[in-house]
Amino acid sequence: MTTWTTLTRRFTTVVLVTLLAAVASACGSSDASSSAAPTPLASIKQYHQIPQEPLGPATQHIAQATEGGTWSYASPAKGKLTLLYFGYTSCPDICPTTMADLAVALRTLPHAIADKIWVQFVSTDPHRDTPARLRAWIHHYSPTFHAGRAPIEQVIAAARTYGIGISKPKVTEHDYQVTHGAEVIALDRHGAMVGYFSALTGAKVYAAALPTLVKDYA
Amino acid sequence: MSPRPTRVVSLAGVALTLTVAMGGCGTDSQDRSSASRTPSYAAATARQLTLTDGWVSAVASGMPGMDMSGPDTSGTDMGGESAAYATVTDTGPDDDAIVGVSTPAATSVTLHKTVTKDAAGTMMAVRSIPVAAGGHVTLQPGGYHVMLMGLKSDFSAGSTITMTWRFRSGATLTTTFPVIDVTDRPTASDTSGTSGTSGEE
Repeated sequence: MTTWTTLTRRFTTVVLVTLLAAVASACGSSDASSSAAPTPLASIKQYHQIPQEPLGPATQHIAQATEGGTWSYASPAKGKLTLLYFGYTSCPDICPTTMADLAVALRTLPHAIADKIWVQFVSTDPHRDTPARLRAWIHHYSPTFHAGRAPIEQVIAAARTYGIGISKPKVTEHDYQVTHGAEVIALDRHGAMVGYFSALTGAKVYAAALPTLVKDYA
Repeated sequence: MSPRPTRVVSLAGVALTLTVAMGGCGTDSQDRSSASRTPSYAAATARQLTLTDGWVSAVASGMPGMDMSGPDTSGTDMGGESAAYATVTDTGPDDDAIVGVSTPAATSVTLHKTVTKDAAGTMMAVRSIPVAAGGHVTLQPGGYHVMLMGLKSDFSAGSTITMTWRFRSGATLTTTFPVIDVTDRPTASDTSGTSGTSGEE
């Protein structure tokens, strides 16, 4: 027998949970770091799985500012799920929010999972984003994150491979316009895009989806 | 999704400009878990306008300057960027709009909106940010924001800056904004696809 009180409670719970889909419960269990099964990706509305053939990989390379050498979309770190984001360091709005949320999400995950995630930032303002600046900026969010750059034409081409419409920085009379990706892209072990998050989806959504993504694609 | 404590100070008619000190708001903390600091967001009221959940995004300290040479750049080192956000509610019968923001803490303050197209975003300068009569506008990451360039004071988490927001109606709000890490931002209340969850709890 269901009372009104119970119904009200249930309704409230549904409302609270709706925004984050099934995420809230998964987050709660992440503290325990083991027990619960990974959240099914299909239940996470703010993660979008690529339904058909994965996109990419892009063929370009970038110069890695954080640890030197080059990083290739087509040969990301072995045994890791790569989260790729196109942005720029003078971006005050979405880019820092995205990096900060990812850092929080990874801190809430068990080490065994977080260690299998490679966060790769690629500059969309490579002329102004010097290697030193990229390093300082990305490490502000997490010392484990990676950042690099390449000529803007190559960055544009690589981003298009994954459906991200980056443009070349544009100088206007009073403005310097740079574009950033609106999505955090999940790459499998071969650099193919298997899905994406909206960049402002929030740390809880990342934390809920990443265990399954690591299991399936790292 | 629980509402954060904010201090709202009402001020009748006479003075349209007021300053709200932020100190001590933290003591209003409700039942947040001990692990998370609950930031105290800026709040102020003048005429029919109420500003709540005001905050400024902390920036990385000790950042090397940008390379400002070459044809792709405007030729001036802007000295760091940050953004300010708040919710502005208009309880009066007339539409209003944010038409400008000023602060001694930055050389340039402009109103921007992030516009998304082809899975990429660009910040577009806007002349004003409308606030509908009886409604509210929330400045938040991915939407409207106040862009601060040429930072002249400390923008690390825990510091504060004073800002004056000017409205088309002539009203102004001057208040102290806390500088916080973006992950301590207020939880978005009315969006689904772009809700900014705070990552705490």
